[in-house]
Amino acid sequence: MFANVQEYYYATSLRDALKKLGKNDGQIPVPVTGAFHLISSKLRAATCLVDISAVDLNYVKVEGRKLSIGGAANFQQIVASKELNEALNGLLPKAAQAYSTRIQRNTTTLQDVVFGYATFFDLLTALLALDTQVTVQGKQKRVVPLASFFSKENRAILGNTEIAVDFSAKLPSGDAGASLQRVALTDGDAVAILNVVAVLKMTGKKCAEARIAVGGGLPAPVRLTVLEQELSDKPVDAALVASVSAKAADLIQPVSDVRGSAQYRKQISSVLVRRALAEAYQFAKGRSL
Amino acid sequence: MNLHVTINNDPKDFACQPTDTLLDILRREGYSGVKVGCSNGDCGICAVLLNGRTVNSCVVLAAHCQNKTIETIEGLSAKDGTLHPLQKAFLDEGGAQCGFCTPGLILSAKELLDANPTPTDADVREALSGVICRCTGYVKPIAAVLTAAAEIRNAKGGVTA
Repeated sequence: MFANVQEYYYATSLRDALKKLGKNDGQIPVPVTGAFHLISSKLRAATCLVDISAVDLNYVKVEGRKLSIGGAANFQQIVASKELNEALNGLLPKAAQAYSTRIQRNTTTLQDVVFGYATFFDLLTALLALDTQVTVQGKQKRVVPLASFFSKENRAILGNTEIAVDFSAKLPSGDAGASLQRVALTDGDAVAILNVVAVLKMTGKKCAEARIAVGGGLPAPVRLTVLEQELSDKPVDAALVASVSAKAADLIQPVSDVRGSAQYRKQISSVLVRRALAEAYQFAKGRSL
Repeated sequence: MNLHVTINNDPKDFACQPTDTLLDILRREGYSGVKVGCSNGDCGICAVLLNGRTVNSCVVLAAHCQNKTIETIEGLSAKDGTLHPLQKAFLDEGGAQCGFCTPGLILSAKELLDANPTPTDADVREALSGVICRCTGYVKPIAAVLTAAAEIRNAKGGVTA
């Protein structure tokens, strides 16, 4: 796997890491945060591994309505974050916990997830629903929507010489609720047959803002913006949620694999969207639909 | 390259290659309690504590552990051979069958009990879920961890759950 690696470099700061990654000395450097189970395909050509675990990117914080997760923070930190557990009825810790086991979560980072292009994570679906912006630092700094990582054209959006340093999102204010719904072969299966995240912000009886994302059984998670618009600025009731959810199946292109057929995934998408919207409403309003 | 680590409270220096995994190094240096399983980060058989957190040593590079502390199953018992309450409870409760996954189970349990001395049954199940026992003996290890937790609390004069 690492046939070409000759050097292991300990970056002492982000600047130091970027300098090493960007050095044009004939080497092929690759950033690593700890474990390599998600980025093994990137390591085949690497000649130098740049360890960024000591760079100060392992934070998880909520300041006001802004949440920020450092690229080298591990999933278990997200699960254990008191602040995140109190935000949006614990959506992100629940989504992070859906990935595998504590041993795996202790060494899984968002930098590795996007660098290794591992798109099945429930956490990615949740972050997509929150309109997460990713700060990518290379020779230049740029802030890109997480969604842009998932389009075919941008699959290689994160180069070897760059680091996804920060994942930030704004939490909705006021009466807001969120829900993660997933179906998997077993409770502990890290890869869902399908996962759905809904976030609802309510103003009185009306939906001020809706966000719906679907992932797990798709090539990459997607937002169902058509459905979001159908909910927006309308009084939310069971009939509206049912009619909107029924259209989910037509808006996704799931895969067929060992976990389930595309047809099955389409069937359950409508059910999961309905459940997610109902639970998000319940959290937002304190009562069921 | 030279690797400086503290294993089971003993400072150690090893020569290693940048591509050696932590599992490679530990096995080579005689820590045979660390077992080789899937070598893919899936089964938890090779789990060790790295700075107090369980990791699958087969997918962590040894170089990443520079200046860090590592605990293996060999480090749990006292120098005089007195077993750690988790080890004793696994014996008393019949928590080990073939024994191959037992180091991973016990170290996962230690991570849990170090942070949460009063775990519920669900906490224990969650903590052990990263280690696959092919004897399928999960019930007794769970009982053993709960017994050990009570034993540790009692020894500290704490409250029982």
